[in-house]
Amino acid sequence: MENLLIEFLSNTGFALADYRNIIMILVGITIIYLGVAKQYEPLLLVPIGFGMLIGNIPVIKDFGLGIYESGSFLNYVYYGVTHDIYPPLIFLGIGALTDFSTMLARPVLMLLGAAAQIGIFTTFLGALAIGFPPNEAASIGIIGGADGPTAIFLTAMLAPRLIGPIAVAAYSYMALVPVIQPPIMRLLTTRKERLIRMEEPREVSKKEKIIFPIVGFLLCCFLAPAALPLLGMLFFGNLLKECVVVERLAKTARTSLIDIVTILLGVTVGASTQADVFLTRQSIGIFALGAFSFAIATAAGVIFAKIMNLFLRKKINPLIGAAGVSAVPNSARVVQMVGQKEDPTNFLLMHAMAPNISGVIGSAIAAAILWSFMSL
Amino acid sequence: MSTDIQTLKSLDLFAGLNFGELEQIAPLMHPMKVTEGEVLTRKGEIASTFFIILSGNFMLSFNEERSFTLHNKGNIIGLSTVVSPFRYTATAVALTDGLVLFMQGQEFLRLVQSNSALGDKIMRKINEIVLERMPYMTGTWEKRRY
Repeated sequence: MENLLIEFLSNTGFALADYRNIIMILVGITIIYLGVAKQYEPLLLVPIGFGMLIGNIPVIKDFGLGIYESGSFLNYVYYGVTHDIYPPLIFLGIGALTDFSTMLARPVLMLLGAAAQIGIFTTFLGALAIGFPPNEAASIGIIGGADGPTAIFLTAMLAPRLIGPIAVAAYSYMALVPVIQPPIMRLLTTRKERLIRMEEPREVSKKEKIIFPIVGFLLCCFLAPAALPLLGMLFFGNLLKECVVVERLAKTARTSLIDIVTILLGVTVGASTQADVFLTRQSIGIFALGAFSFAIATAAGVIFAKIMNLFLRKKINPLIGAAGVSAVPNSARVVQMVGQKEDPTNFLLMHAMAPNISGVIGSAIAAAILWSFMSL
Repeated sequence: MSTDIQTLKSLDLFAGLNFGELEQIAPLMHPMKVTEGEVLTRKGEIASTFFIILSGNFMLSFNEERSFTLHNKGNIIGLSTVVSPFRYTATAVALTDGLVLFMQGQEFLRLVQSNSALGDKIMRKINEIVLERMPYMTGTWEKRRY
């Protein structure tokens, strides 16, 4: 009886835990706090934070409980992450939710979404320079796209063992958009530039909105076929939304489906941050490079907008360049917030949505390009 | 439970919107009964929900014991959910039983993403209300008066 009791006690989490589990549990609680109290992307941070708690309860090895043990519940659900099932489904929901008309009204603004991808490639080169192998460097660079599903998609292909830190870094920076972006935006613009008012976008016809997902899909996927899973689902979702005749499908994709997948993805990505896998020097490097990538992406968008103004007759407010990272629509809202601080009657939100949406497409194409290069 | 289009149409915030736009907003606005003494917003907290009054009297308390009441159908509480500073600038308390409609900030963001022109229209309207209220919130109205 005494032996049984001792054995039971030695199998409890209290006996099995080491300081790293405690650190990760505290990180999980912090992430939940940021989601609940600060309301930074709560839909993402709450599942990820709780997933961290789940993943860091110390359990007996080979008991079929851990996320990395085949046959466990978590391992089955994690399959959707490691085999790139969830990211395209999230893109389907994003497509069914997103209005592309601001981008279609002024296609030149798409260039800002493309410019912001400079952050990805700069960080890729930086990570290579400090010794990360090319596949891992590419996965780290994609954090600058500020697009969680894209980061997971590429990392699952190129560096599966880094999914945990890269996904958490990508989602954390997405959540911290309102904190990270404004200082960079203010630093790179003058007050006069921040006061620029943009002209109302033209009205986009229904026909254009229906044709766009088909033409956009064909163009993007002929250019970067590796983006097929992500962009195929994104444009398909958008066609469901715009063609109106399948509203039921569109509604399911943009509500129930995306919510279910977000729960599964968030919890398992959180649970994948088991202390022994996550608490490494490499993870610190990933977080630092991710922040650098995100900052460069923001700066590149703003600077490119300023360069465009040298050639444009009707100037654009360079703040909207910061929305070229694809954290939709948070980044656009930050642009609106920074612009409105200078002039409360200036509305940049709608204009910022154009580069913001282009950023989603741009980061998927950047991921596809990196994947293609790494596969050569 | 979502709100019917006729109710939305009668509110200042949505005046001028077409039927299709109101149809998009209806599922996002939820009715809620409020009882006397109930606190809708607390000053300083993250603004996560805004409310539109359908009936009842409400008191908004700002800095330095400055406050005013809202009692007209269509008056809005919790504007900071949509515009900066994204924290409630007043504590709102129901002085009587009443009925409000509410929309969560997350839902508003989804609306912006799914129809940015509509999100822009609502944001402009809300901004107009903020600018109208500004003198009362900051006390400059009193200085002007006395």
